[in-house]
Amino acid sequence: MKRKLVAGFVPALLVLLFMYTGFNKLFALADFTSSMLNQPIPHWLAYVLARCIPIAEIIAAGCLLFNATQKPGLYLSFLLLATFTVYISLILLHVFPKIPCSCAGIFRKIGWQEHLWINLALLTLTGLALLPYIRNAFTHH
Amino acid sequence: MKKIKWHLLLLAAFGICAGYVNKPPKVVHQSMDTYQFAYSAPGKYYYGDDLTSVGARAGIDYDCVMAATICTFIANPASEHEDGGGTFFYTTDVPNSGIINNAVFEWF
Repeated sequence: MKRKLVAGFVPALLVLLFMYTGFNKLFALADFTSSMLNQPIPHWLAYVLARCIPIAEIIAAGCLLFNATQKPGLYLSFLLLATFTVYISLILLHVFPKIPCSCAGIFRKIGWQEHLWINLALLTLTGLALLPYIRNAFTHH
Repeated sequence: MKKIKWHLLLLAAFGICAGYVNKPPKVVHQSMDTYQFAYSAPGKYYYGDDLTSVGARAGIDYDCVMAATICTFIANPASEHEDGGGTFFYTTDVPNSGIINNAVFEWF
């Protein structure tokens, strides 16, 4: 029962999240690019990521729409969430020379700490949805 | 197309619409002109000016510390700053300033 709930709820949550964030960024690409340029990364990388991140988010959400591509969609979602979670952690650990604004994503008005908690929750849920696929992979080997 | 999850497609459409509705407002430069502060030279010198009119680009020529559409700057509250007209002032002298007085000050 719980497994079915996770399998049904998590992809729905991720589709809503990534379609929203992906298209929100694309609809205001100049604004998102400007926000990315404020991050402690090289400017050439900021320009590349400003285009790649929303596209990756839309691809992840798109994959989740079909039965056949749900597994890669969940893996891509997990990768995106994990990457952002690591980035937030590095910021909070003062690894970078400055703390950039947390204005580049969906939650423009909240701080990095809150971002981290939300991301960890989403990452955990995505991990739970991936568990059956991982178990299957192990049992088939 | 048989295997598409239609309820997720509906959610996707809702997400796209929400993404459009909640897109950040376009920057109105006139409202940004007065209180834009940028580091200008290694002499730790700030000035208030219309940064866009001199071709400055956010993130390249200056850094924002809040949402990019508002784009305020950190300025040292303990130091004097010079505006574009050559007048010196403290951040507390600026009414409705976007300057974050209690932020950790850093040299760009």
